Amino acid sequence: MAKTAHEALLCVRNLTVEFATEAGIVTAVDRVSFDLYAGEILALVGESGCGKSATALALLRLIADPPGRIAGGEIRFRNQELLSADDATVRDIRGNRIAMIFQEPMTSLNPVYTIGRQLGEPLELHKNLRGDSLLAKCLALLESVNIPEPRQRLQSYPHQFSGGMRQRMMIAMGMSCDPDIVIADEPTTALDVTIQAQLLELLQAQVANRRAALLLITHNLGVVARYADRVNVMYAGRVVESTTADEIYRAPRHPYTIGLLRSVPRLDQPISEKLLPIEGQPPNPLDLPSGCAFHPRCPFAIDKCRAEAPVLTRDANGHAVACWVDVRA
Amino acid sequence: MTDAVHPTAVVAVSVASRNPALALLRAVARHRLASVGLVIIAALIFIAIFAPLLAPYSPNQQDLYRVLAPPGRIHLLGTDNLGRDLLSRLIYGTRVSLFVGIVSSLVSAVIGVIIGLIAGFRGGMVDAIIMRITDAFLCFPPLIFILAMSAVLGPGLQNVMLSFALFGWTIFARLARGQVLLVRELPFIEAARSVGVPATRIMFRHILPNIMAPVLVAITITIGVAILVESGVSFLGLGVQPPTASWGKELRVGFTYLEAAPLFSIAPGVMITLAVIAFNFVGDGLRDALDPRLRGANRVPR
Amino acid sequence: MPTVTRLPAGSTSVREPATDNLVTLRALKVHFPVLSGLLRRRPVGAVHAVDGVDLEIRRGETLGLVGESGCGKSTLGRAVLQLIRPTSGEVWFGGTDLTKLSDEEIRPLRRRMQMVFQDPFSSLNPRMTVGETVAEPMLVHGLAANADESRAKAAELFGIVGLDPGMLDRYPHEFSGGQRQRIGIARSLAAQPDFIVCDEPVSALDVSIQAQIVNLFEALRDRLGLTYIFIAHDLAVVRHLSDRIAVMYLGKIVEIAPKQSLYSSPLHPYTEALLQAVPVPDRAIEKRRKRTVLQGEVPSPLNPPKGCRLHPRCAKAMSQCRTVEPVLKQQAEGHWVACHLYE
Repeated sequence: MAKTAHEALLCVRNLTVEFATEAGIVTAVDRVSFDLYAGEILALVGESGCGKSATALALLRLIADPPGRIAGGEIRFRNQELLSADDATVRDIRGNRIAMIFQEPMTSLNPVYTIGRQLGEPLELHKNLRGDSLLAKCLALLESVNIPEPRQRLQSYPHQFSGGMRQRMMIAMGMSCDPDIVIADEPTTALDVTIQAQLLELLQAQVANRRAALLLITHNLGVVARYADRVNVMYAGRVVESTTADEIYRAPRHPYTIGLLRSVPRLDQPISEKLLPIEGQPPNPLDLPSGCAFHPRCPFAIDKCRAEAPVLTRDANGHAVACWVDVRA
Repeated sequence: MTDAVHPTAVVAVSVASRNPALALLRAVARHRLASVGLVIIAALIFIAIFAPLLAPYSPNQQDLYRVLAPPGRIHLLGTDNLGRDLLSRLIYGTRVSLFVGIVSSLVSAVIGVIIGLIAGFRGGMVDAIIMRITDAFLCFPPLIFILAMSAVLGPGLQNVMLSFALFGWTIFARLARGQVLLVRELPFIEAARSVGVPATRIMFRHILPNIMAPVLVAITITIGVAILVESGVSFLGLGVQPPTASWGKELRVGFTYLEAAPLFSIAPGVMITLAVIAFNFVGDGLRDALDPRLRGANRVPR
Repeated sequence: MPTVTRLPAGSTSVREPATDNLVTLRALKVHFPVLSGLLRRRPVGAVHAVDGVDLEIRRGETLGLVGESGCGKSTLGRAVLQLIRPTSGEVWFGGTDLTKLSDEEIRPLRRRMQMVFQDPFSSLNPRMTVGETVAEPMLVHGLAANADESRAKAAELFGIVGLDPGMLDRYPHEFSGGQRQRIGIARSLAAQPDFIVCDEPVSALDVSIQAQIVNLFEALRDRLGLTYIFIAHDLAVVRHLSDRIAVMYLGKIVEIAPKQSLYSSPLHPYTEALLQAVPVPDRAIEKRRKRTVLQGEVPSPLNPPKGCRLHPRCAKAMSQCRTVEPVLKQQAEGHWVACHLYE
């Protein structure tokens, strides 16, 4: 499924995002770097607080300032640096070249405008479509996401639909301008399992058809196994492991990834096997542990882990890990 | 779902103060206007408590040789129509006005909140009846109602407070009921029911503490209103009786001598204004402090 | 208590002694009327949240209850505890029909049947210390002689659920999601119940914490001999804890089986669809798996389809499915399914 171009579509280097809270500054994203290639599905995996959503919002400069702030780094999209670009350039890219699908279909659609109006908005703004051609395109979009009776739907309001249908409309909206990159932030977390399956299949097909790249943000390791080409695992604002999906399930190297994979209950595992949780609590973003943020919970921790935060290092096979210990030993 | 965004849940002991009351005070003080209000109120309370030490003269000491004297060295603000030192009368009047304001507000709050709690919690017929009674009271223009009550009950400070409470409870009942309707649906109330907690305990131990936020704001603002009402009532002759001084009383008497001794009515007017503004500022600060703390927690995406 | 026939049985033994069952549900229905009109509110329809459920739960058993949103599993859990009063049917708990009792009469019985809630953030009173929250059940049911004793017992409960007893005087907002859920569990244990309804207790938690809490439930059950109804939408989580699993769809149980049979040989098309929809965190397995997706939306419980409720979405629907509603029939030992395919 992966189609790697020689040049990355999106290059993120040392992205840092901070939030000012009552009790201090939280570094939600800490010098995160990664590339995204055309046609691939890259998964950003982690639990709440790891910074994956903040990373996604930062890509489109959607971080609310205040209390948030993009404190540093560089985001290059097709050789256009986004963090220093002017507002007009970024607006032109948003929804057009880079589209985003949010988690909560209940609140991401404006309740006072019809579906047709909202679906048409990016097309009007970016593609200058009007009248009949706009209508035709909207109908085609709704059909492409398997929404029955599209003509009636265009006149209806979001509250008249279920979560699954709304999310499909979000996908349609996201795809409307044929973006190069789609960012999907936990697109199915709020939905039922069977609807989730439908939507993810749809999203995958849509992205493949357009040869777009998909940045899939999720905490669900099963979804990652089914759909992702490459995986970046995040913990406490940093990328701790980065490799292909095959590799991460075959031979995970970061203790957090290993712990995570072991703790998730699986349908295929023998019934009598015990669940092996990761001990301890997720870190307090205001009071991160010294050195490697995972060390208090890590069964492999050595003294160096307490003292110094490890750097993400890539081996010959392209598998990158941020850990002082080689778990294969 | 796992992405419930609650950074405050992860922030353990780093929160400045674990005592919620202290944390609230701190948050209010951060609001500039509210801190001004707090200072003024503190000053007023100080004046009220230490009135005997602060007042240069006894408030009732008449000096018929110096009637309606202009401000000077002997009497800083001048004297009233019976030669009594205006400054001292205002200082002692602080006691009366603050007392009336605070007690009226608190009594209204207690009555109103309990009624509102019952209405909101029970629902159905009980709620409907109580709300219709509340509506009936609210049909009257407030000041007229209170004046009428005062006329019926007779003059005197206690009756002013009683009249105020007889009307003021409706505001709190409405407010409390609305809040109860919200809190009633929260999961921890269902949890309390599932544990087997009896209804009265749920009302007072679970719902009441969680509706106090807007009630507190209403109380502070109502104190300001009550002070104004007392002033109005005393201004019209009901309310405090001679020789007791209250801001409203002084304002009334001073009005008659407006040309001769303008300070006689201006000074009490200023005191009333100051107090009401101060309480309003604090009310605003409280509202802001209580509100974003609940909303702000959700602004950090994960 | 009348003897019952043709009900999904909890035990695999031939004889089903009635006294072995802690909880029995019979023809349980919970319908929420939908009112319309401005002045005179007339019922124009009803949400059939639970539409005829029969169930027996043995003492010491863990029954997993799965289904998607709108299937009625949460409503069922609450109806068993009488937090929502059933529209009709019977709920037998330890020899008493709870539906016949008034709220006041049920209150003392609540000691024995408790609930653990889904959202750790809103199921604890933010204005009470966690110690007070955990001690409250003891105070309310007279299980502690004084405040000191209840506090001591609360500290003990904290230890049992893996929390530091020194934190009794803290407020809920000072704890993480996983910790708050432990507090909720401690509260449910405070009155020493026999039976606990766990309503999606790990859905709102992070993945790495879920395993901790599931293990906790397991340890507590083994140590204290508890009976659980464990409600979840995650089939993998439920599989770990349950003895038997019931699958619900639009207010009815469509399949119920001991866990081995349900996962190895699911019979109902809906169960199959659910299992297929859950991705396994293993690349090699996922690449090989068949992926048939259940089409269509979940219908509204206001107007369930006629006949078999799944028929509009079921790839295997026959003409009979559109008109006749299937009934739960036993297909294998302890394995019951409501589907015309098996008649």
